[in-house]
Amino acid sequence: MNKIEITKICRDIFRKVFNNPLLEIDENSSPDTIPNWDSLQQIILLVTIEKRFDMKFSASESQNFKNAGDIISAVFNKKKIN
Amino acid sequence: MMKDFLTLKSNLNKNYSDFPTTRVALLGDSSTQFLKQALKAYGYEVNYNFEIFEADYNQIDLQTLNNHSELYQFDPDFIIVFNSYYKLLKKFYKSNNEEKQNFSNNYAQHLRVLYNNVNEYSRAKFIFINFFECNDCVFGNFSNKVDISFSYQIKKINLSIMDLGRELKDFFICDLDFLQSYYGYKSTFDSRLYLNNDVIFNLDFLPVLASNLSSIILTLKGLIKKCVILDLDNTLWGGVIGDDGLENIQIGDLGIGKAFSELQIWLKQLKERGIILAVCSKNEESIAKEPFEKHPEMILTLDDITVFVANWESKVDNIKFIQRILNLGFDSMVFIDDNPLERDLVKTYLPQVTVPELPEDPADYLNYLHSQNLFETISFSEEDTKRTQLYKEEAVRKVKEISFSNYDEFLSNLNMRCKVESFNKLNASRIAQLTQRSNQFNLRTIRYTEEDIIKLSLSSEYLTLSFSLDDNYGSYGLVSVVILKVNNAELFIDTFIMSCRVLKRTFENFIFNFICSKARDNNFETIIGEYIPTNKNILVKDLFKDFGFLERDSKWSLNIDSYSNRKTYVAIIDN
Repeated sequence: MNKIEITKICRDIFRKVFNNPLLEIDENSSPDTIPNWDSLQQIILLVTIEKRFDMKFSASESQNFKNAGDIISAVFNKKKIN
Repeated sequence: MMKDFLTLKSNLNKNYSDFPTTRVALLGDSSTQFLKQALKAYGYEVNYNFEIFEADYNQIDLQTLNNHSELYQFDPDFIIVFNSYYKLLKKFYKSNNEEKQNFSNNYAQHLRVLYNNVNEYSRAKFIFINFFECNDCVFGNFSNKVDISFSYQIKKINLSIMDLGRELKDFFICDLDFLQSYYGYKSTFDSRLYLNNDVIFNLDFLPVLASNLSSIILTLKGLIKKCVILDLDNTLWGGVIGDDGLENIQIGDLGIGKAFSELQIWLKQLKERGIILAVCSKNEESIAKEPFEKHPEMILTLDDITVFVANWESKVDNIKFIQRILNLGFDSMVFIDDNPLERDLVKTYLPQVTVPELPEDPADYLNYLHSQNLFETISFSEEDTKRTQLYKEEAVRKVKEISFSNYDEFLSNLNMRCKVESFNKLNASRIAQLTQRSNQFNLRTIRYTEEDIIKLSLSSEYLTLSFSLDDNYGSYGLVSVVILKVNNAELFIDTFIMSCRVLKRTFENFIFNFICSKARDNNFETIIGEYIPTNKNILVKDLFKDFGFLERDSKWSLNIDSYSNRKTYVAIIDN
């Protein structure tokens, strides 16, 4: 799976989790730019992405995500290696 | 199948305003926001609005010990307490060996104090989530032989919680240990969420836990399953009796027969604990009954089945017929059928009936039915074990009733005799159960637990009456309950319940005659009644009017002197 495909799927998951079908997502989207993005929403977001891509983020990885770009890159790296 | 957390959570945007509301407080020593969301969202699935108070993080003791706390100000109907095993484990590791040895005893003592406080400062029912019985592998399997091991102590704690539950009637247990062993550690817990966020459960386990908690709450609210309606071919045995014949249906040792035998054994256990079994099959009646009468490997016999319907009519009509005979609500019925078409028809036309989506492979039937936890209950009494017999006697009466041309003649031939008693320790559990299970002949639908009933029996502010009825065909048992609140010269009917099995027996006339004569003997002047409508008790809407009560400020009032005894075929027997 290439990064464009992964980005597209992730964007849909963001929209579903934040319950906003028109939400604009780019690499720099973060808790500072998306009002509902708090620590609890982030858990739901990450768990939903994990299920969709059949992979797991480690505990420390998930602590260090700063923005959507970090998350998408992490997915890409895992799917690339597999 | 259970929805995943994100899908369930989308219910939170929906409209709950048409649903009944109940107030639930949630106290935990870990982060409980997700559990709160799951429970609220699960309420939508069962048409209930759970109004939830979530205490701040780790405030179980603070909120329960202080009688002015936010918890008590919220005035909950239910208090759910969740202690996580992580916290317990930490505490255990800080203990010395002597403390470890007494760990479970001390924990149980602490829990008792906590419950006593809740019981003193609120009217809430207490629901405690038990512990999953892990082995921390400090001693390996040997931990089972060492009393200072965590696994030894955690098992003992769960047992102590069960003992508390047996002793304290308003103390209920949510069996997390069962759920964990059913769904497995990985599906239940998520160590990353615990480490990063102090969230204990795997997100997709939360709907399971919420469903379990909600079934305890709804059962305490009186939504109880009382009857299972069973299909026969490929449900109770493998194969089709009409085509395959007695020798070739699969039951017992033949083919996959064992799966069906085990299902039958389980159904028999349900029957013995008070669930009514009925059969609804598309078959010739004589052929459908043949396995019950002749097959040596059948577990269920015709005696276990209260109503047996086998014909070629639609199952929807047959279930309506069964409902009329048993006089139970559709929402207290479960319909088990292997055929998806039949299930869909019942779901469409009788949406209140619970219809489990049986798996295709009969090998999975039983396990699946276990996972649905359909038969939650909050009480168990002697009466339950006799229920099938009681309903069968009733069926005989129904037939007799038809053979008498005159209904009065029928009633007079029944030779009904009633025993009246105040509430006491012996009848408390049955009385509580009647208040929990009865919906139709129930004027105010106030639910009481056994502990409430014992309190009422000791209170000087209340007169309590229970009525047990016998006739020539058998004993109906304790079938009516009246609670009267004393208010100077007035008696207020707090509760008047009658089991629907004794409707149209002139029994309510007997009861009113009894109440009035008792009131007269004790110099009361007025009886005040109130009818609180629900969607099930329309039957008694005009009861007070029919007995000569006059309407006053949305209540009903009867001057005792103006009451003249109503005709009844029930005679009193002295204790």
